[in-house]
Amino acid sequence: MEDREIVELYWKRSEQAISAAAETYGGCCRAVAYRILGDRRDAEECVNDAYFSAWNAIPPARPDNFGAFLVKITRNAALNRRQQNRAKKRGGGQTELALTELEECVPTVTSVEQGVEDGLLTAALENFLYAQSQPKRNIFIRRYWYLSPLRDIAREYGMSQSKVKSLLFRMRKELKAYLEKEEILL
Amino acid sequence: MKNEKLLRAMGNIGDELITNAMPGRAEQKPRRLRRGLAVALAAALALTLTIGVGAASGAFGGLKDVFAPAFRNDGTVPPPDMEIIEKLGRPVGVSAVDQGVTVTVESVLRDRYTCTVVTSIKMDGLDGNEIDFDRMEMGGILAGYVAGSGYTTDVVPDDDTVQVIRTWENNEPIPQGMATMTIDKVVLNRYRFLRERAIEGKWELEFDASYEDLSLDLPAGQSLTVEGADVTLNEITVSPLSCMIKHTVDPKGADLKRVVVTEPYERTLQDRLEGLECVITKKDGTRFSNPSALLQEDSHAQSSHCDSRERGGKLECYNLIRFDQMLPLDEIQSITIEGVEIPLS
Repeated sequence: MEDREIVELYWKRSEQAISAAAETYGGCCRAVAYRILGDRRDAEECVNDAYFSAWNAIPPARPDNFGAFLVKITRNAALNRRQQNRAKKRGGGQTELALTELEECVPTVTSVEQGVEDGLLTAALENFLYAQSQPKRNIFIRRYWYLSPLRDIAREYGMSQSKVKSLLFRMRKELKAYLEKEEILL
Repeated sequence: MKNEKLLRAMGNIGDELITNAMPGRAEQKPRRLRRGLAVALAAALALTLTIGVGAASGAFGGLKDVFAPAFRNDGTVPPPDMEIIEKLGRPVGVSAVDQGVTVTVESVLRDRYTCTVVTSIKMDGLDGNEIDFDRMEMGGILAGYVAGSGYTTDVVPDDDTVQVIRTWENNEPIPQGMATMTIDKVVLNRYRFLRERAIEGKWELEFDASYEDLSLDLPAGQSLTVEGADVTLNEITVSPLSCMIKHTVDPKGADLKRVVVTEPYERTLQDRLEGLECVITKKDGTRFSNPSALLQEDSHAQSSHCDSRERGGKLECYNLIRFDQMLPLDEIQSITIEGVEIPLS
């Protein structure tokens, strides 16, 4: 079923909307939530929360890209759940590793005290990503948005894991330099 | 945390970026077996299907390639030794049919801590699709596994059949006996937005996963110091398929979240202590290792999993390395763990 048809079902308040969303995007949502949480039951609950949130948001919302809309909700729900869980258990999924890798991108200079809104940081990230070639851009997003294991990325892009690793390493260095140039300090 | 903030900022990037990077959308196709191997495997699979359940009695002749998917299959590693295969693996040929989809367990290959099952999925029009399942679980002897990995390969185009290779791993010995596999809902093209298609159904299969345990238990009890922590090796087991190391770590109050390794990627003290550097040296000088010791591409490791649990202020760890090819035990010179060499006499 196409996105606009699913959104129409939501607007009609048809419960079929949820089964259509689950049928089309459930797998992707579960995978993202699982990588963040490392626990299938928690992941399943986050996906169910996302279906519920989408039900409450549409209408009035009418997302152009329903898939990205739903996966984003799931991802945020999983990150929130993870924050709740982290006191109990060390992250079991790809999140800890991905977070560790990303940390080095953030400039450590603190000479200018500056609060940066998430929106500004997101815009800078988008500018950085659009300046990359499409494969590099997608690999970066696969790692740090979908939190995909290096093995999966390497397999899908026909590269060795070490090549993916070094590509990401170089991109993180470039991102750090870019954020410094844009004077984005956290 | 600033990295958490970055991760959240990443979460808000535009839909177009997210959609274009969706898993399964890379132009590079998943790896396939070489054509020559594909033809051989097709013949072997056909033979397996013909033999059916009766094959479990042990007719291995000409079936070597049925087990090829259990190893690295890009043509860069030597073929598995048949004598060893006959001890560790068996053709199965058990099928279940539902909703027009035939699921067949083709072969099983295992040792004390790992079990790899080659399964074929057959249905009209099925070729080159990515296959996933809402549930693909092993029961019986394999209940309670702790890690697993798998991939899909379309060995022969246009034959309506796709192979799924899954490996289950456990940190406790997997018993002998009958295994059960339960599959719920076959999903085609998962992650490919509008091409995703689900086939509701249930497939239950049972097969004998007995094997001859060829594993060697090496002398253990050595004490080491790694990053200032006291490490005691409790168990070192090597088989032609994998190597298991179990050890206890006393971190002596150190901060386990501290980053201690930065290249080729950052690892915390806990990661470092869980994944001890292990190098297996063959008599011809070839080295097998976990990625802690050598880069993944040089390590001959198909996978490497480690984990720990805390007990009384100490970490009880395991580290399981699964090889990308068969490693005959009589070809091993020694195993070196964090610089401590243990010869195989």
